[in-house]
Amino acid sequence: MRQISSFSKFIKKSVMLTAVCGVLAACGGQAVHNSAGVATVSQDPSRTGAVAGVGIEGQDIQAMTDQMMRDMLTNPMLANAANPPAIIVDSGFFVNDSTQRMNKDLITNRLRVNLNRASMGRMVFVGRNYAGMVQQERSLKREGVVDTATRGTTQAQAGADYRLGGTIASSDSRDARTGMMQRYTQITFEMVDLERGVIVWSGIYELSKAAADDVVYR
Amino acid sequence: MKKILTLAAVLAAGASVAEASTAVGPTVKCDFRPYKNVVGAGPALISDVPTTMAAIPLNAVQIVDKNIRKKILPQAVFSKRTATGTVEVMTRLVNCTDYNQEVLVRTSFMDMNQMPLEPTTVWKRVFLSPKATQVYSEKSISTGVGYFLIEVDEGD
Repeated sequence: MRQISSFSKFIKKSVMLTAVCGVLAACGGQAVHNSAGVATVSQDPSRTGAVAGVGIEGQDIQAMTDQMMRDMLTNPMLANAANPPAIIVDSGFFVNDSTQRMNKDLITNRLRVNLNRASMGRMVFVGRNYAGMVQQERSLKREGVVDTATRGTTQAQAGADYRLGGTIASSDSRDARTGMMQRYTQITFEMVDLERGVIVWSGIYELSKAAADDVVYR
Repeated sequence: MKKILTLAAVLAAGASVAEASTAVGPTVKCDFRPYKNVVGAGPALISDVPTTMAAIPLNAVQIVDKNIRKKILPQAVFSKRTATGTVEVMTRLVNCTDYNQEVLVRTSFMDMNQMPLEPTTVWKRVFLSPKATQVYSEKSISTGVGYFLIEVDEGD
């Protein structure tokens, strides 16, 4: 008898729970009334977007990295060497001295990825940012925890012949009367010989923008 | 002796440059009418279905925006091989108006079969002063370039 009673309680609870879930699901499925808002639009990242200010934006990053990549591939020291040079392209020595807060990896990552894809073995890229990951696997192999896989072992991780350095700098000016803001941004890219310290390739990208719109970069 | 050698070097360097002139040329005047009558005899992109699309001349400049068709004039197109075997293309654009102009320019590189060799380059912004020229240049990634197409759009 007690068993039947507890069973009926369980059924009641289940029915109530199902009903509550049904109501919640109905609420969740309704379209949100957002007539005053702006519908999402997909944009071409190589063109100026709907929100634009005086700083470095997506189209600038695409344009500068594309220009630098193409220019580097015309440099015989980098792209036509008998032994493909080992190169590090990351943001480690790429300094942001500008007034704009930005993720430098947006520039260096796009440059490295596109350069690696385009060079087709004419340059070899060292993933120094992955050194810890590589060391972990090397240790496991040498301790006999894992086998040596198919590529064999080397005495050490790859060193690099060249490394990308550079600076993002800017000069701001504002018209106190109108609030108009102007910014000149200069981005320099330099490939440094890691043995002798000489700069074997340089590139520069400049932009100047003026606007009165209140755009915040973050 | 050193002076003579230096002078010889300067003269030799000067010989490789076309003769200069102090004459002041007239302000740029453009006539776009002859462009309408130009019949392209060179390579072009054509549709697989005849008469559905006007041919797009290759190794040339294509003004894609009507708004600047009577403002910007491509004076000449150049191309050359770089030291690493890639191709550099250039075009000298002329601003025929009395106002500053801003255009976006990009290049598509194709092989001898007109197949795209690499992604189209990113739009590059080119600023032209009134009645002045400006050079746009772009480099390919690949070495097997057969054709190229330079597109000019109105700046946004």
